[in-house]
Amino acid sequence: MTDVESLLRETFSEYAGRAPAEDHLADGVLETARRRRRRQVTVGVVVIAALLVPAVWLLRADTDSVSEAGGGIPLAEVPELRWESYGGIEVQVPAGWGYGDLTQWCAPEGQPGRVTGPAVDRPGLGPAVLCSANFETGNQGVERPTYAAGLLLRPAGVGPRIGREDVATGAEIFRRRVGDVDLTVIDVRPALAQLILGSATVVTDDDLNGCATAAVIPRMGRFLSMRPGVDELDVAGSLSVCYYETRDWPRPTLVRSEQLDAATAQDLLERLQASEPTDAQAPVEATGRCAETEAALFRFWGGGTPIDVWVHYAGCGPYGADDGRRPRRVGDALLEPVVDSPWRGQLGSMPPGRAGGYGSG
Amino acid sequence: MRDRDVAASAPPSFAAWVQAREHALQRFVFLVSGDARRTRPVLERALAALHRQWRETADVVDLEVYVRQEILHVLASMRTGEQPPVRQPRDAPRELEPVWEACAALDLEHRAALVLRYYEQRDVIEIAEILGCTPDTADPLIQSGVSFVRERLERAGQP
Repeated sequence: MTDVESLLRETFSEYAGRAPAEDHLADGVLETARRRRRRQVTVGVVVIAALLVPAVWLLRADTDSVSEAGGGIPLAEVPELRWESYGGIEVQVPAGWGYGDLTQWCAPEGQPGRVTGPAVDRPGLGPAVLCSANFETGNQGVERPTYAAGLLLRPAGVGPRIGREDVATGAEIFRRRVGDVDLTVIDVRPALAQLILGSATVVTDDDLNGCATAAVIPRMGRFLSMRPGVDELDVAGSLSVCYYETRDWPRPTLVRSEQLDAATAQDLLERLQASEPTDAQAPVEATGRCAETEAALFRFWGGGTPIDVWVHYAGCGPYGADDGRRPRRVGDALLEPVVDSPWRGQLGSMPPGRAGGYGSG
Repeated sequence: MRDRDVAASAPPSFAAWVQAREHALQRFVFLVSGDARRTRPVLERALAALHRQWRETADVVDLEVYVRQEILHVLASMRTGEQPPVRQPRDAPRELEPVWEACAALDLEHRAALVLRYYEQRDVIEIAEILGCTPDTADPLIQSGVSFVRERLERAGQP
């Protein structure tokens, strides 16, 4: 045995003593499985009916019929994947997939937002703004779109019924329901579709970006937090941005999340600290429609307990940021990461992971 | 150190099986990923995958191998931006820090191979099985991993 091999043994042995040693890890897994079984009974009737549609390759909703992520696939052949968090589930897709509207409904050839390759299609502000006549709400008398390849994420029971005539020649349609989400993969590669659908799991606690999958959205100025406020944080290590919606969901549900880097987190923290206090009554500058169906939670990680700040930007107001200590006005710089997200749809195949630079305001 | 003998016979239940190994598996995830904060979520994902296949797999596959494959698939599937950063624990012994950092510079396959060989003391055949490759591939993987660490240490003025 060489010196290096001895050092490796010693190092691993020493560092192993610093590994987490949590107990009862099976409990969470089993609880998730119990919930899955309960849902399975509920969706059984739907599944049987759907099996009658011959043009669709239907993978049973929320069952084990889809092979698990990576199961049986050699490590070297697993494509580089990324996680998408939506509606209380997480699912993996190839890292190179973009975002966009798979129907191409609102993005004709050569227009912004046109997806140029496989993409993840998730409901968002963008498609709603771009598409005054949205296919999924049923627009009569208009030619049916052809769906591009990718993954369609929708609240359970809300998505469009896609048939083989709606996709490009050779593409197959694969479906699965996991938790409260319907997933549809359109692709020519069954193995890849199964890898994606098989990776979908219900998130029981926080998702990988540190966001809880459900939350109660407090009204602006009514957030009661026992945690420190933003004024008590000097350095932000990172920032989780968690977006919750009530539209299409029985309760405020995490519809997307992202983790921003330290520099961006620090920039936003300082902007928040410098923001003017507000009485939480009058709406401040922001665009939005009249119904608070969504809000974002900024969760700053800075070493100890995370600091939560609710950012209200939609509906009739009042808008602003509320850390449970002092409601503040929010300007464009704070709203931009919320509104200008890669999931809007206009951004086509822009990948996630923006860093820094949210403009002025 | 190895937990393999614990599972000599068919496991009585998923919960009991996990309970007997959860600390060892957390150590494995931590050593391969280098991130204590993500150890639990990564392991829970792997265990969830294992549980969904429990009835089919518990009697017919080597669960110790299977669960490690799942762990590595979870880690491999994280895009670069989501790969847990390998961090230096606060109370780490100074003399071993360069070795840990050298391991951190390895890719996932090499790190896993070294952990399986020098922490879990598995033979090349088992390591190949977990990594989904042949023993002819696993052995050079270990050797090149060791060489890489050696070079890094030499460059840093270590033995």
